[in-house]
Amino acid sequence: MAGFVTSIYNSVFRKTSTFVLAGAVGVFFFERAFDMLTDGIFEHINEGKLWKDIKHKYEENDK
Amino acid sequence: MRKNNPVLSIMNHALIDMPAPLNISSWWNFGSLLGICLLTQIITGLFLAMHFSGHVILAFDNLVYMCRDVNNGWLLRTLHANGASMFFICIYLHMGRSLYFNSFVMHNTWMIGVTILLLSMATAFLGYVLPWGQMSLWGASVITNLLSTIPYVGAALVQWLWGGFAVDTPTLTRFFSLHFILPFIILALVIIHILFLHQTGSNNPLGIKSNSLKSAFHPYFTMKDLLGMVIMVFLLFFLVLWDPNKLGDPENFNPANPLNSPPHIQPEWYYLFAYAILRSIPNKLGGVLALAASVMVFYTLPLLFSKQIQSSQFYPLNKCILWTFLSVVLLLTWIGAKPVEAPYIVTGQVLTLMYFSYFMLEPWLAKKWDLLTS
Amino acid sequence: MATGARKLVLRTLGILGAGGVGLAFSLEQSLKASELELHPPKFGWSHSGLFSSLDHSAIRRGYEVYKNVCAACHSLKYVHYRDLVNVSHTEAEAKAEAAEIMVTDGPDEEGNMFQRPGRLSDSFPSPYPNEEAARYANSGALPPDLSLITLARHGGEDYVFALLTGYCDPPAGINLRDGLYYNPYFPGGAIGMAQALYNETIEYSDGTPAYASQLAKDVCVFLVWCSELHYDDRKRFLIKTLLLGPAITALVFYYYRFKWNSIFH
Repeated sequence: MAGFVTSIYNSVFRKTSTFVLAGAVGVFFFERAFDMLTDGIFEHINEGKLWKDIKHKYEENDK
Repeated sequence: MRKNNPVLSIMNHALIDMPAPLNISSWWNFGSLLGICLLTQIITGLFLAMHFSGHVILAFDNLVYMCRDVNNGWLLRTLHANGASMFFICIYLHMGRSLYFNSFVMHNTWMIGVTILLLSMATAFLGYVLPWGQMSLWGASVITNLLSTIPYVGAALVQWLWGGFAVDTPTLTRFFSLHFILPFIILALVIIHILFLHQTGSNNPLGIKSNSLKSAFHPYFTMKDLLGMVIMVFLLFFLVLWDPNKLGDPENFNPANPLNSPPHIQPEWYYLFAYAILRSIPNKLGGVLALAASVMVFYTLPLLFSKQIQSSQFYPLNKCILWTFLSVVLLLTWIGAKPVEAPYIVTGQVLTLMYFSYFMLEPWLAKKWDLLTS
Repeated sequence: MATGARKLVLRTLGILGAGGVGLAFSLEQSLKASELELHPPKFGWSHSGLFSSLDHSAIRRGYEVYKNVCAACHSLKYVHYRDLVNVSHTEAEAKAEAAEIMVTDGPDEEGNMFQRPGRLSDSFPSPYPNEEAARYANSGALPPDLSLITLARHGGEDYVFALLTGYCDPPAGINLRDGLYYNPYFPGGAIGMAQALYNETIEYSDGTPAYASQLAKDVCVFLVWCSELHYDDRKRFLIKTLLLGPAITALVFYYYRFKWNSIFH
């Protein structure tokens, strides 16, 4: 464990350039994951009320 | 480099190496929060201005368009509107801190501060007219008409202000121009406010010289201010996303109509105390003077100061009347939202008397207390 | 001793303060009861929860009510057919709805105005060409535009629902001019709009029983959506804020304590 932390520190957090890069990449993934999580919560709370829950009733007429 | 570069060294003195008293409490956070409020307003306002049109036919429609069809326009608009409320919450708490701990003893800083308050009130009023809803138009009419009570020049002055014979397109356009420029003047004054503050150094809860108890601004106060900012921005976003129109008046979602005035004309919450004072004086000119005095009176505070120790902490009677004064301001805010009717008129008049009597009682009580305890 | 006295003072102040607030509040309440208009109760809307979205089936039904009943007198000039897409209608359905109206467009190459079927980019048609025509057709009363109505009235959708379902006979002693109707929720009581929603005024295409209260509720949800097209986005953002805000605050708070560690004892 300690070895892992040390190697992460040495390879990523020690140099400013890699640190900033790690931040930028991390933000990208965090944003995607966080959006999926919060949208999931929203859709769970409002199940049945949203357009995506009722659109199947109307879409078959399109074809 | 931060110590030698001419520009950076100024910032260094203000934000990094500046010695600050270690014992200042969270009540000293509101200055930096106000800076953030001002920047938020300037930035959101800049983007709103890109979609604004200063013509009475277009202003309301453009704002509706902006809130509906511009990406996140609704968010920008509600942030700007509620940001103004946040601004005044912080200003009033900032001033309350000054009153309690007598920070106004620093004359220069305080005088600039009251000027900033006056300009902020003017800016918020001008901004409220821009959406051109019912309350915009009628609020602007009521407030600008106050000038007509000035003898001899009043009527001419109002027409000059309007750029015509009614609140109309010329008024809207000039209000927009002024609303755009004033924040930058406020920003300049804020810098002077901080310059004066750093000449004397911050006050602190004990009200004594604190040179032995100081630390560098960074990282201690940068971190403390950052914490305050995070909390305030969180609260602002919560308000905006929970109920963005909580503090607004529904009447302003009706387009301005010069032929039909709304049943109750009242300003936003942050003006209500002054509005209540205005309405509690039966004479019109007297009311206007009282309105002006209700804010201007803060200019007198440093002149009235007579305490031997610089903080109300050690003056129980002054503490008592200060809390009474703050309650009176809250009650005036409540009265300002009420119609001019039987129980409210007298209540408002009594509260107005109490409001102004604070400024007379304060130095007198302090003197008596100093006599008693010396 | 000193702290005891201080506590006593604080306690007295607290009790006085609470008493003052209570007094102000009760004054406020008692005076409300003496006003002449009825304030709407708070209804339990399915969208009024902290994280609750609008009910999109209700928006769709409310659109039917608006189109078949309200649209006869009320415009909805800030709402476009494109706004319906993926909210209550599919793109094809919204196009079909738009195509039902005729829009004056032009000028064409010869400089003449012409009529064409509506497109998605068109806003909802107004029933009257101008304000004067609207007033003339409604014995002097102007039917307000409904685009922002739930924001523009005290009480919002509660008020609109109470108004739509609150018609009753005027109490004794109140005489109404011809063309006015009695509604206790309307400021002043005399309203130019007749009761519009009765049981089965229209029939819903999804088979929901069309009681008057159902019609009123659905059209209110539709109007909330019209006033705040971004209602659901706002709720999504609120969830994000409430998750992220405290987390960042906790992080900064930790770092702040960490930096101040040498000073705190």
